[in-house]
Amino acid sequence: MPIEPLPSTGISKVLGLCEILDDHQGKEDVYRLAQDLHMPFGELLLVIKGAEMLGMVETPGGDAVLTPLGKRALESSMNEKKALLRQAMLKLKVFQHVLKLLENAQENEVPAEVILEELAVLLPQEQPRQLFTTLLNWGRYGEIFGYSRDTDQFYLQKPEKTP
Amino acid sequence: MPAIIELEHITKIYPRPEGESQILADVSLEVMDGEVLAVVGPSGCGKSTLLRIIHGLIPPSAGVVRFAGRAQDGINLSCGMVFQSFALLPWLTVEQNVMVGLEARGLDDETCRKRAMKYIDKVGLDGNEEAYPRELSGGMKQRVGLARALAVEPKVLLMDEPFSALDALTSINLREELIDLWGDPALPVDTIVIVTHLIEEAVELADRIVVLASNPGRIVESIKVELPRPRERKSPEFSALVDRVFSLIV
Amino acid sequence: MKFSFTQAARYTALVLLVLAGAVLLVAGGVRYLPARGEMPAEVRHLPVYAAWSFLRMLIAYFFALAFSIPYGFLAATNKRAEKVLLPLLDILQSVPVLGFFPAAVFFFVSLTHGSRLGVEMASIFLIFTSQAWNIAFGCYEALTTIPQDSFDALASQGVHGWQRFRILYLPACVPKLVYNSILSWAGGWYFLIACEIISIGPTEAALPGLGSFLKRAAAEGRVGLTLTGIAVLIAIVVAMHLFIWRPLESWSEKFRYEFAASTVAPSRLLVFYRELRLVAYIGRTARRLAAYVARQKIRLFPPRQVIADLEALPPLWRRIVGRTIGILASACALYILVRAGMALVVVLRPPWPHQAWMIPAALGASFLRLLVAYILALAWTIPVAVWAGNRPRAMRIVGPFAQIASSVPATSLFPLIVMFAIHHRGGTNIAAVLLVLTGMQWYILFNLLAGVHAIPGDLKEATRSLGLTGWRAFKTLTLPAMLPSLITGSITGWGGGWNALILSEYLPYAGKVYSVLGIGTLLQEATVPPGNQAMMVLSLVAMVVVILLLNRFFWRRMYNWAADLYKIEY
Repeated sequence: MPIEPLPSTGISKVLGLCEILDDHQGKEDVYRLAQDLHMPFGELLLVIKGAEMLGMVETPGGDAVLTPLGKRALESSMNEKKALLRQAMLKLKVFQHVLKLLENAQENEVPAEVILEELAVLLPQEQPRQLFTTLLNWGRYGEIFGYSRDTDQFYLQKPEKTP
Repeated sequence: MPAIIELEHITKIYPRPEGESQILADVSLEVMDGEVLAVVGPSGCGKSTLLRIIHGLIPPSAGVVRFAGRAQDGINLSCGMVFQSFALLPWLTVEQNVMVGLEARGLDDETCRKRAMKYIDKVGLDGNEEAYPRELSGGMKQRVGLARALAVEPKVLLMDEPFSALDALTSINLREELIDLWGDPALPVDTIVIVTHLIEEAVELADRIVVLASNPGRIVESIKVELPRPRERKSPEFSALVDRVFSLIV
Repeated sequence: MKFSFTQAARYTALVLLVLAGAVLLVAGGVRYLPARGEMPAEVRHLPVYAAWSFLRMLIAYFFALAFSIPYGFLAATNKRAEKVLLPLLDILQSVPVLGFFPAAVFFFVSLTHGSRLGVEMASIFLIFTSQAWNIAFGCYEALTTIPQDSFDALASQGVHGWQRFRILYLPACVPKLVYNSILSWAGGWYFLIACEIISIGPTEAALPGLGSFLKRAAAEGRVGLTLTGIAVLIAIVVAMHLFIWRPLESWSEKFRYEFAASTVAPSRLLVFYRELRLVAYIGRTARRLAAYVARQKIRLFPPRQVIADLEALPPLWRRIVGRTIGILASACALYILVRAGMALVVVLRPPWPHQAWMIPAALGASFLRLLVAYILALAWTIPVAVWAGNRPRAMRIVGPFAQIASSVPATSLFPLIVMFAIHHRGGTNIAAVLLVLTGMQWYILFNLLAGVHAIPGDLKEATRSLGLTGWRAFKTLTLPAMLPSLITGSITGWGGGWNALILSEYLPYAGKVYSVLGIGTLLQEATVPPGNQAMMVLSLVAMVVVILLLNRFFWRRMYNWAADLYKIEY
């Protein structure tokens, strides 16, 4: 199976989409949604694509439908929500790939350029910089990996239990 | 419920080359302990100025601000503020931005860090401690702004159009999370003053809505919101209240 | 708090130390050169000379920083101080610093009873004056453009005093500080080369340095040696660019406020640099080194306890301390002003020397020379800018080339130009105009390149789609669009020109002096022993007045007019 690229959108938007769908009894026509939200259609499609990859929304026909997982995320506390999303992200090939790279690396960290090159090889059609930014933002939200600009290192986040 | 903030006959006048311009005219207002108060009004009605006067960032031209019964002079450090533009320092990481106020209070490094982490966690930012603001999306930036304001554990949280710079989806998400956060009994702050031009936002969040008119800014009406929580944005009662506030503004 | 502001400071210090140390090591230790006037121009002495020149620059730069940051800070944060400091800065910036050199030498040398130290101090002071104003202005500008929300946010958090300075004011200055430091160093080299040979009293005092080396080598007519000296100078300038300014500039990006999205396209120049493998490698190494240095925990800032104690002083005390400092500073300033005024009165007491009547004619002649140089500068920079500015690929070549060419101090080329021009008929005049040109052209070229480059692509395409080409396209779009930058460039260019003028009209060469009538000549002749203080002051004042009048009544109006009419806004 080919690796799917991440759409350049943020987790806050994905969660906001779930919230809106919940307001609309869990289902809404995508075109109407774009009108209601005064949002460019293309941008909304990216959000829907992201939500779909994370398993929170399905798109039968021209509709966006909230999945049980999406509904559960809305009702969870902050840390449960982050845990749910983390699990969803880890099902994606891109994340698995980068994760493996980090796990095999010394001290579980690699220079950012290594990740960039890796992305360029994995997904030659995509803009590596943009993909990098999205991957980082999602990964940070899911506390999977992080990046320090001061050292320019990409690293694995230790799964720590927060009180 | 006792009043925690009392504004008495607040007037604000700015000198302008073409003559004085009056921003606020004789505004008197009480903010009750534990309430969420929304201030709405058209642009230019001085609602942001009012918020800054409450905080003590701007002195009023006339009138008195009382906090917990005492007349206030200078900045009130019992308030935390969230800005429309986020107002983060681009050269500090998320963690450092949140720690700024704690350092100013002379807390030691260890306490600062612990407290910062606690609120970074609360707003869902953990994992982003080392990020710089420019690496974050708007929604994440405003979470930093919120964590920074909460970290100093203020009595009152002041929010100046906190969701206006965000897109529709992000602002819905943040609003919901703010409501969840507010329901958390462990949170020290229970009084919130939020300034907004979005009426839906005010109706969704507030216990009471104060409507301002412009030129000069003055209070038109104060409306209690008695819809049960969680509020249904699509319910007829919700829409009716939105319409009522709207009619007061135009 | 881990705060990597110190990172850059440490890195810079380290690099500078390594550079200076390396030069000294190669030279086999520092030898203070003994007798005045006896400095052999030999290749093997070059490293020592280079080290001395570099050291002078470094010392002056640190003084400039120490002066400029507080100056800019005060002007930006204190409304009352701003009213005095800003116009003062404006004047200082537009005054040709070199004109003050004879006076400065006189002052410092008499202060130290004619020792070598006095000459050193004078040259460092001169370099300082060429660096400081620009940095101070940058600081002021950076601080006044901090968004109000940042102040409010920090005030809301209870941040004040030293903490505010450390986390808001200082970082906000960084990008401007770095950028203006680059300009300041370029300016510094220019003056350094000019001021290492000084005539005082009966002898000519030369400081060991690249400038004196170049002059001597040229005076002895040794072309090869002169070229070698210039090559060493260029090597230093380029090395500093690569190892210090490039890394610092990319580091300073972190301190920029930005309101747009985070993905900023890197500039063409940057891409060009990155494409060079070697540069990429050097950059990486430098970054690693910086990261390593940053990990070493050394406290550069005073311990927090001291600060806390200072800030814990009761407000009354703080006010008293503040007031005292303020009053002392004002008293010092007043004293200096009064003394200077008294000295002026003494010097300018009539009867004026008979040469004073030559001042108007000299000013006119100098002005004409500047005008000719200006026209020459425009004649080559406009075509080049239009050609390169419209072609990305040409820009990629012209840009870096011009950057390096401009950072080579034109003063180092003076001896060469003089060497060749002097033997022709009217050679002195030609040399003078050429020398002025070297001080003028780069400012104009840079501003023009930026101006043409900034013309929106849509407009260029629209012009082409309307069938406008060649001269017509130039007349309808390019010329009007680049007019504001042409005028900005002209203002700075004329500033550079006036400065160069002082060195251009009076050319001592191989034991003889070649000179033409002009204000620069008058200034220099006034310093010929036994010295003529009245003439020195009179020429200086006349020149400064003309420059200030030109700026206020001509350039500023031109600028406002062009900016009003031809600014492209969307």
